[in-house]
Amino acid sequence: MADVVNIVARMLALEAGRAQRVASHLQFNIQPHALVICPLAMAGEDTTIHAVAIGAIGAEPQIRVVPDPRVRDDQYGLVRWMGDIIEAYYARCRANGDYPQIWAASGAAAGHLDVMADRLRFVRDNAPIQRVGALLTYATERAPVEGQQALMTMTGALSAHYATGQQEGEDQHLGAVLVWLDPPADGDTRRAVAIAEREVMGVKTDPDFDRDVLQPLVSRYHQSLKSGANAAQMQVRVKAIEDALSPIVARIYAATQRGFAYLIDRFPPSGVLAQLHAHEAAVFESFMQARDGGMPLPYRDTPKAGAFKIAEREHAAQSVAAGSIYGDAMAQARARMAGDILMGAVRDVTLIRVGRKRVFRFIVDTAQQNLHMRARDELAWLQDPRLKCVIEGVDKQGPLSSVRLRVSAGMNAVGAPQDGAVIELGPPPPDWRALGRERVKMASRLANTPWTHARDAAPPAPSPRRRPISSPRSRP
Amino acid sequence: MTQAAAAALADAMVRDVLSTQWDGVSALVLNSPPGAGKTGVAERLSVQGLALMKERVMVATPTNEQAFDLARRLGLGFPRLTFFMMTSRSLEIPPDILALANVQIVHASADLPDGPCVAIGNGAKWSWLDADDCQFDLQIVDEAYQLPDYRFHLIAGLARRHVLIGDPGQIDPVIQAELERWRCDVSGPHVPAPRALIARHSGVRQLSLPVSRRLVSDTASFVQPAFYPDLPFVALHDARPVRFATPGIAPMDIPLDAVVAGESLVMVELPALLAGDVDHDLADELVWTINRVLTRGATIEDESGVRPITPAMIGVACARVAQVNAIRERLGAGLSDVFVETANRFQGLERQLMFVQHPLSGRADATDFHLDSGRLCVLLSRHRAACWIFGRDGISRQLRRYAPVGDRSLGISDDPEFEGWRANMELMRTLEQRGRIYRVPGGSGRRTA
Repeated sequence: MADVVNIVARMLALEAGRAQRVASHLQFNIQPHALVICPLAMAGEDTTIHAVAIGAIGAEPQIRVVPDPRVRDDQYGLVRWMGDIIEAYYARCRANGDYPQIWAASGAAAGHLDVMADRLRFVRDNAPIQRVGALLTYATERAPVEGQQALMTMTGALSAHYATGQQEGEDQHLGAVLVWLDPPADGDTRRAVAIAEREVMGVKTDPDFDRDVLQPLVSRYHQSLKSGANAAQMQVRVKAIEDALSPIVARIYAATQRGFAYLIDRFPPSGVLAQLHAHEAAVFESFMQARDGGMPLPYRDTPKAGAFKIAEREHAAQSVAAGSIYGDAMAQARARMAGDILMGAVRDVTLIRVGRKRVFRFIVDTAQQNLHMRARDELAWLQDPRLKCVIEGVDKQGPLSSVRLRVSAGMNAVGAPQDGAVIELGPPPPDWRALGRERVKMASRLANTPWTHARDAAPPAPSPRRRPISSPRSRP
Repeated sequence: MTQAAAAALADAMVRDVLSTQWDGVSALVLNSPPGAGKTGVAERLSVQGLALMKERVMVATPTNEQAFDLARRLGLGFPRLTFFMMTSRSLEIPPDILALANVQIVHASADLPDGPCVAIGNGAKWSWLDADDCQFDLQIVDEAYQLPDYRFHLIAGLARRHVLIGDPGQIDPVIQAELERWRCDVSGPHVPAPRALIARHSGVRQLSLPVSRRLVSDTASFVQPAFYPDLPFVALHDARPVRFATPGIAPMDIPLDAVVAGESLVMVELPALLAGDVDHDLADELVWTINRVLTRGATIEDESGVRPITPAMIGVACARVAQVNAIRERLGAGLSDVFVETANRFQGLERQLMFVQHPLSGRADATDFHLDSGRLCVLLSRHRAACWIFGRDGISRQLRRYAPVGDRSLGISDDPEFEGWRANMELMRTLEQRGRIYRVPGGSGRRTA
């Protein structure tokens, strides 16, 4: 079912001309030492960086521009400069048992860093450049994992907390989102958004700017190179390109920094953040240890590596989904709408004794239209998840659903639900240590690759057996 | 093809499958159309392994429910043999399984006998088994197309030989994770286990069950070209006639009487309406029609003879849980035995009569979820006698409007979204061509109320 909460919030935002909050709690950790990286690419050049602005939260940016990113030595110079900053940052985090966090302005910028990471770590005969690629890969490989805290986008972060009055795709322009968060005094938000959208906020410069400004500057730079211009003349050419591009990355950087103002100290932390922090730190340390050990970062996974990665992603998605509903009112509202939380009145609480065991049963009546509840599902009480119940059946009578439950744990610690009380039951809190246990089990199980999953191994030769005279009895 | 010839063809293929084990074939992928007796083959392979070959056999299913179902069938069908169910200690075991004297519940490898045995469990339980070495002679993976390859990887080393049985036309495994990383990998960890195995080892033996015992010929003529263009099959039964004791006079009786005339798959088209995830009017109409079938005294003639249709012989399947609930809340006490579920949950199940809601009905868009050919295939292949597809006018127009642009990758010839769109188009075109779309004015439910 579509996210009704977000649809309603977007309609309210449109009506008010101002973004509306769609989260009650902060959805991820914002590392105070996080590094903001705003890259800019030349049109048609998807695997290089033309200009980049880097800095900590609240700090002025360091900006680096190359005259032409297609010139390999210039490009590698920029990458090494960026790499020195990232290396030092990672080292500080590692020394403190913490993890690094990189912020990009938008999904496009994060995607560009992903492409750069893939490209750089396969550069041949240039260890420092490979190293930059490997370090960036930590953040970019974490990005698709639910609940990751390593590579964040400001547009994504703001969308997780606020709904604008425009379409989801339009929220990829950071400048437009910031207008919805801080609309103009005259109330004409749409006009202000239209103006903001003229400003580049992605990773590519404006085509008019390319044609009228950048392309002539780059051409003149190459002409000067070819004509053997002296150092001072070349410096003029280089500076002209820097002066053209620096303001653009500086504006993207400034917009990204502005976004933090709408996140930091605006929301209490969500209940899962402490777990996500600890998990991310452990993943980072493991990643760095693998780099210390010289482990490669292949582009394509072996079946074994793929199994570990997909298991981690599935575990993360399930854990974050289950964990976010504890202590986050909006996440709870979404889960209620989606039918993942049962909310209703308790009736018919019964206690029977089976031997020495006490068995509590009760029924919850609900009018929820969307209910994803099946027999044998386990639920926990949102108020105190130590109390766990198993669904024994779901009966439907007109618009009412009656869910029959048996208490499976927490009876002594929490007590039985009371007749007539309104109760909310949802998926039990995630077991954050389960992934660790699963990885240990997988490592032991996959220590030897079966022939079925070895790409270069032939199936074992058939070993025929002598057949009996009669065939097995078959049932009609 | 006569029924006897079809039966002989089906039996011959089962013998071929059983024979692969005597030949010591290291891996077999057995493709099956709907209702061709997949689970029956799994049963026979298990029993052959245990009783005749004196082997240790493990059976893996995607879910606990499927494991219970197989244990139930083996326990009841072969009362003189003992079977084992490998489960986690916390799993609730259904009482009827506990009541089977020849099905023992076990939790660890040491609980199994040293010698020949058949142990059934879901894939997750097998992946957590306390032993990692090769414990079994034969591993049977039932509903193997629902098992992603990485889950198969976790259990493959437990046995020397493998038989992967599944329906390639049904819903792919549900994986809650971002999969872009493996998009270009034909044997990636997310790919259904049989496809990944064949991608890695193209020489793996492949067989196909050629006869559907569930679907009748008329339905097979729709389902086979739309969903199984590469898996030819025929129906064992030409028809299972449905008749009504009382003639009909309402507009909705026309599609009901079409089934009496031998049309096993018909579409009931209601006036266009954008309804979103829950279409209350369609739910009213559908439940009214179920009542109508029963009040007109429907009977079915099948292998058990002529029998009156009861609510327990009727199923309703929808794409979305919200619509399932909308249907359930309209079924009074008299229809409480009608089984209503989503397409995902209907996999592996069947009913004599099915009422299904077309996934694209009443929608303004056509997402990959609604276009999924597996989902539509499941919906249209659960019935043994007749299926009424309920939908809003405009599905064909909607399909034309949302023709997928194509999302293929180099080296991957599959394009699930396009395949789904193609299957949907093919179905709608065939229904229209063969005069199977019955336009009704709607409002039957409201008039009754």
